[in-house]
Amino acid sequence: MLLSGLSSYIPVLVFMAISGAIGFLMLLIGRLWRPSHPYKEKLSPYECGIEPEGDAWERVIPRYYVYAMLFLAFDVEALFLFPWAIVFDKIGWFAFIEMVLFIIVLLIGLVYAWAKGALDWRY
Amino acid sequence: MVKLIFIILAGIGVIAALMVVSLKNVVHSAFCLIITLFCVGCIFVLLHAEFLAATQILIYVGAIMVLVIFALMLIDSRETANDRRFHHQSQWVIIVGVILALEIVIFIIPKSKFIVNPEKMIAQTAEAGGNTQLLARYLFTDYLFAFEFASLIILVAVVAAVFLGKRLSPTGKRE
Repeated sequence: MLLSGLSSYIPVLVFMAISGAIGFLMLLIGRLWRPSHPYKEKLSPYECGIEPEGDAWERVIPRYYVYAMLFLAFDVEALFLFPWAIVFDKIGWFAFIEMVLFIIVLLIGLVYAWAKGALDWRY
Repeated sequence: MVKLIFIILAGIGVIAALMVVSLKNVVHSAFCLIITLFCVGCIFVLLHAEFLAATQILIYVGAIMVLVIFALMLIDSRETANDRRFHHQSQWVIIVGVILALEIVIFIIPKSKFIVNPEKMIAQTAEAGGNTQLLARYLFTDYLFAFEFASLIILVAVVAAVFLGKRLSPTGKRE
């Protein structure tokens, strides 16, 4: 089936509707089905089984931010691979060399992060 | 039909954007920002800019929002939640905002070149293999330098993030 224009996004809408409905229905069925006997311990936030300590509104270490930044950088890199893959057969080896250069430059960044220990999780 | 979808998406986007600046809880604001950015992505789809829409979803809704939420985790939002969100600057903001909006309406819109025949242009783009294909062809031939330069900019961002992350370690040392 060949869809043209905006109607080709109908499958996307169907996907979104089904995945949204699954999430909503799971919560709804759970709510209707489960017994409701709340008490203080049950309502407290779950922290791997240990007694919850302090508030969830706490400042976290900035290491998380470095991870997010690295994720963003390599997300941008991955995004450029899509148009590259589309025109690869038209432009050929020239495009290949371009992308190798692009990835090598970003690999320098990854090696730097690795060498500086930004990828190790330490407290 | 397209106009109706656009109005719905734009409406949701604007309402969510207003909620970003008016909600008390910063995490709720961040979630509303996700809705706004997603609506912008859908509008890109309506404009037949598929690659831009993918960029919007992957980079903005995906990566940038992770970054924003991690940034919110760095600050103590309990203090900001009780701050006054509307203060004496708001009247000046309204004045400047109205002037800027009028500037767009009076000076920019009449002078901007609207596409005279969008259907023809869409057909031409589709004939050339679609928007993404055209964009990719230009990106990897004519705008080669800009493309390679982008990798250097990303490299700078990675190095800076790693360096600052070290500097800001809890012990205060650069490790």
